Amino acid sequence: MDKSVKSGKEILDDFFNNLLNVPNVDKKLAAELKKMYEEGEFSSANLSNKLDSLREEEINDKN
Amino acid sequence: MIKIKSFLIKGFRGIKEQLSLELNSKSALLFGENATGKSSITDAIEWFYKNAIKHLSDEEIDRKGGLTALRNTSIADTEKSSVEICFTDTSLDSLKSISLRRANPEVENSNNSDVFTKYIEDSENENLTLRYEDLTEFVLSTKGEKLDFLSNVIGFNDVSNTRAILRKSVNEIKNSLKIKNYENEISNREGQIMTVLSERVISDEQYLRKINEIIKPLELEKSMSKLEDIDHLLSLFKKSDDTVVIDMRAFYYDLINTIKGIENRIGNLLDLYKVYYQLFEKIVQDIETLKKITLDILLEEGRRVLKGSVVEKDECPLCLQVKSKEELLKEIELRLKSLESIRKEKSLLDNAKNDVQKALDGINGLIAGIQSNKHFSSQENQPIRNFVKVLMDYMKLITQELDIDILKNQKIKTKDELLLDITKLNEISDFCEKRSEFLSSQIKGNKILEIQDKITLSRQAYYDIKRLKKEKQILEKQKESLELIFNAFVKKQKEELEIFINSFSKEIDEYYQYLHPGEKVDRIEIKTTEKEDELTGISIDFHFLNKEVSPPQKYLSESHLNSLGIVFFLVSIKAFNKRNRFFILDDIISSFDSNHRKRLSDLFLEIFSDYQIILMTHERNWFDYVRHLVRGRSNWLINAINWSESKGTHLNETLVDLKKTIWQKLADNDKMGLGNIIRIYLEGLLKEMAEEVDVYVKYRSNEINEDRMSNELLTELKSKINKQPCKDLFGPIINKMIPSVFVGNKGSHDSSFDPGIGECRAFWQDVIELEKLFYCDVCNAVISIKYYDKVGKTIRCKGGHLSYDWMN
Repeated sequence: MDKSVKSGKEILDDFFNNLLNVPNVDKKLAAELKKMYEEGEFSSANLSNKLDSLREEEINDKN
Repeated sequence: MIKIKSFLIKGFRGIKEQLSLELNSKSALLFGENATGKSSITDAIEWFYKNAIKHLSDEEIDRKGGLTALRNTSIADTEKSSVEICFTDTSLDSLKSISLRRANPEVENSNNSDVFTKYIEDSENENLTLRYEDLTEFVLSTKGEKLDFLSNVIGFNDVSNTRAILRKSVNEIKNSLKIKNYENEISNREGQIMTVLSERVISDEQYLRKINEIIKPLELEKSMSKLEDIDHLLSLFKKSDDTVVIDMRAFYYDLINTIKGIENRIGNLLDLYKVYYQLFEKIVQDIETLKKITLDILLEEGRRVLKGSVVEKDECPLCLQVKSKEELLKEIELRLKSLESIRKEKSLLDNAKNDVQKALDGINGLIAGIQSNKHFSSQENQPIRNFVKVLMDYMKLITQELDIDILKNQKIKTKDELLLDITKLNEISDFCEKRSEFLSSQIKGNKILEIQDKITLSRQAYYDIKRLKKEKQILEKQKESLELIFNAFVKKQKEELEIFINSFSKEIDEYYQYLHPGEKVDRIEIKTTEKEDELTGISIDFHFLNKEVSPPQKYLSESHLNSLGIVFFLVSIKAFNKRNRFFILDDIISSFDSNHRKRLSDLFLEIFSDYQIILMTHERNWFDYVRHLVRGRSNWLINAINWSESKGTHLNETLVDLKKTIWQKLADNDKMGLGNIIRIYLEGLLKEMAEEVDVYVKYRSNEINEDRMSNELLTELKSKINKQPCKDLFGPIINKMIPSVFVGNKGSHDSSFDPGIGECRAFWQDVIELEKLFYCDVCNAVISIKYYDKVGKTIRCKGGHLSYDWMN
């Protein structure tokens, strides 16, 4: 079997480690997602809450 | 990686006494006629790792008392059934047993270390055993089952879950953009500015210019140069009863916009409710199963507690009934697994309910905004209060439907039964417009109030537009980023799966071609099937008579399907077995013809030479072929499995075992049965010598080929030796042994043969002398014609430590 075959976990680690390199992605959002994954907190509810708080923060920041 | 050093099975399945095999990491070729209990070995090893035996139904071994089915039926209740395995890593050695305490079977592992627990967990998904009946399991499973199997083994479930979370998030943001309908909201406010200022305003500059134009009659010293100046100007206007009119007009304008927003949100709310309703209706069909998932939390908690180190005793922590911890854990896991499908559907229902609730919250937020305005309670706004009440009752109605407990009430209202009379929204908008016009007529002619009115209303709309545009921009930015992340994820998942599938396909095809060269099947490929960009399954495609076809069961014979099954098993071992370097093949070749059997043996020895293989068969020809292949290989053991009423399934004792017994009996002066044991040992030794130095005996058919007796073998050995230059070395001892009573004819292994201990001791010395001439202590093997030196004309052992002049 080819050595480059990855397990599910390796694929996820790989993806989140390189998330900030996705072209044109919002770096702050990408960093938050990466942090959630690394802390084992990557769930639908947590992501939804995080997106809400990031929006609120941005609206308040520039007002 | 781990190999087996030895195993010892007692009182398990067909094994009554004990079956022990000292492998020392070697492979084993075991012959056993049908019904001698070969599968007891496979069962024991499978149970050691998986705590279950797949071919026995779950009920049979998992229900209370089912474990007793694993115990040999004739052992006493006081005896334990056990499987003890020693490994190349001794920290993993363990004895797993089933004992009967108060008639309840209890499972115990002697090794409870974290290292061992982790090893067993890691081994759970590894392919370690293959039986004939399992051969085509993967090949014949559905596409979805194949995907589930591979996803589970390679951990792709986590990848799929992460993808689902990202997809849901992207959809939520898209939905949010749709519900908030920013274009409409902005357009409404732009219309409001148009009405008030009779001009379309698209920038701060343009807005300020228009305001400066409006306030010209006021002849102010300073014109408005920024938006804050307008706020300051409004604060300078005197507060009077008339200014309340302007304030109220702003309230009506705002309400008209809010009502438009509410109408849009109610449409979306009903769409979401429809999804909820459909899921509700589907689940309610299987309400009995759903009821069982109310125990989910209890079962999950039970599993957590049992997996931890809190419970040490073998008893249920709740009812304190005596029960093996391992068995209890297994029962809980089975119950949780049986609820998996309904749990998934319930989770979808919960998500849909959550979506409806969120939509309700959004509308309730807008209603709260209306209620908090100071003009809401004004006497003249009773119709607005009535409208808000209708709206709140409507929200309550939907909330009530959401609150219906699916386990108690099995009916909820349909979307159509929950439609809101839209004319009520139009009526209240008309009311607001008329009231606003009326108020406008009251200030007509008062230039200052007219200016104040225009600035107040346009400012409110203009600020709303700016806020809405900003919100929209932030939400769209998040949507774009999440879409980029989701797309990158999908790409990554596909790439990695492709690498896996290609690699997997390549090896499956390679091994299959090895077994079936030049036949009609080639280019076997594992392919993914997708629906709406989601992986839905895995299929096996191949070329049959140069045409791409699928599925295999439509085109291939039983033996070809079995080949595919074996090939899949072997490729899986290479791909997924990360801890164990051994596997067991239990009678897998029944449907193969002799040519494919040979090819399969060659495949094992060529490609899996670094694996420890335990190969069991009842096919004599194949056994003979493989035995011939592995003859002289120090990493293979060969033995036969037998069954007797007294021992149950047992292995023939090896020469090493027999030798130990003989030495022990001689040391103990115990002559009981000793003569026969020495005879059996001599026969085994002579058979090995005859095979290695090419001693030919009279042809007999396979069934009785094994019945060669010592006198026949010694006579033929003597005949062979007499032609050799080294005959003087071997001749005396062979001549001495031939007339002995120990070298009897066929039929002499009977109870009347009862030599004394002295005779045994003397004959045993002769046997040892003969053995020393042929056996190399360094190589642990006899001299062999395979290592014949044609130049030096010598026969020798593998390492060349022992050699004799020899004419071949």
